[in-house]
Amino acid sequence: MEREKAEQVLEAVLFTMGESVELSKLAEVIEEDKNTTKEILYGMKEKYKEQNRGMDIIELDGSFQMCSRAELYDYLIKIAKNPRKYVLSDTVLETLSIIAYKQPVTKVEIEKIRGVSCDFAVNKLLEYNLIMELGRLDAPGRPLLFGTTEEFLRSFGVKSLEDLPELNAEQIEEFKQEAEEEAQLKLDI
Amino acid sequence: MEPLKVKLEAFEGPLDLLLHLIEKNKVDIYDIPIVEITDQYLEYIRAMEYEDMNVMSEFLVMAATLLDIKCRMLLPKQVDEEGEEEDPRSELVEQLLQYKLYKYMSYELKDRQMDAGYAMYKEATIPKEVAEYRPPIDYSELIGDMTLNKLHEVFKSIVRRQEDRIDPIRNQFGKIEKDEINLDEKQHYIEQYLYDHQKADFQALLEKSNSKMEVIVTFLVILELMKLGKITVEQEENFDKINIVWEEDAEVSAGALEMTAMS
Repeated sequence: MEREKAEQVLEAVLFTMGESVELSKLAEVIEEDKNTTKEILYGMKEKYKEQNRGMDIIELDGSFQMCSRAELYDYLIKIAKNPRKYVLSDTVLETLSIIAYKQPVTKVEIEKIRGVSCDFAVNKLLEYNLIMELGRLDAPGRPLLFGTTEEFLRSFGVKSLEDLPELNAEQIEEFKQEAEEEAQLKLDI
Repeated sequence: MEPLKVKLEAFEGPLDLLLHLIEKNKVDIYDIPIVEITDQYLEYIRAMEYEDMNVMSEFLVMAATLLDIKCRMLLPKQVDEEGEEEDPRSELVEQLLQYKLYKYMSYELKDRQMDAGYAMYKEATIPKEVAEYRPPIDYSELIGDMTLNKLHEVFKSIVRRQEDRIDPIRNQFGKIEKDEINLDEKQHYIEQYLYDHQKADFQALLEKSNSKMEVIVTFLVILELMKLGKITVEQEENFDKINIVWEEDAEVSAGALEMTAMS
């Protein structure tokens, strides 16, 4: 398919679908292979940005979705009512970050890190569709395994799991050094 | 005068509290002064307003762990296979560091969530017929090279698997059912019976029972009624008949009267 026509078709599809669409399906529609399709989509994203268009295209773990440009939020809320955003408490956020980085992970493993029971947090996250059950661990008791969902990627502006902010071991080194420098109490029994 | 109650920060868990204490005291997480930290920790949990048992128990487990570490610090250090001294605090430090890491990452994620919140999405607006469209089924492709014989083989293997699952020994076990006899109901029934008949033969009363449980319950009821003073029990000679006599001014308890109204 001609490039211009392909772009036109993709634009119409993403607009109509509203939800995210898998790359393979988009490729089928414009009768191209996945890599070419991806390239075209990235091109469109660039174009939208350069031309200051009202919409943007985001990638979510191999699927693509159309959304409004973030900078235009203030104008949009004047007309479109923003669905009430849930606010995640620190506890729930911590649990979520553990699941995000360690998935697939069981409740027991989460509790080992946090030191407290995580039932409440896990249930809340399931409710918000930010995590889901990924199956069971092949171990006594066959405990449930949890992982993040597409909704998680969307809500946190993460392209894919590889795109998560890196677990910064260096940051921890910094913390340690800071603590050592300011150390005043060093009581040994 | 009552001492001013200072509202303490809410901590999400023992690790959270420990990290706070370590930071407050500006100590090296790799060389925690166990005595100081344990004392402060215990002070905090004593002052904590009593919450949910589950939450409190987690804090107490940590308190016990700290005390355990404190004790182990008093003993000569164990030496592991590599000849290095084992620091009894090391496991706790590992746990604290890991917790700190994820706590930090959760703040990062929170920032990201804020930024991502500014994009809005549209819901799908596909007409119903389009959404429900399914391509026609190609039967030859669906069946492929499955033949009736192959299907039969699959069936046989499923049945075999099913048979293998039945435990030959446990399958033979019979069932034991519990006899449910309501003590209260029985008591009311017997009271009413005795009130109506004024006199009854102990043996006859027991013979009416259908099961061992019922006999036991009936017997207990008789004893209870004796205790309450509603009946007296007489026997003229050893091994003679036992007679149960309803006391003249004894009242049948309210429940029993209801029972007869129902029957």
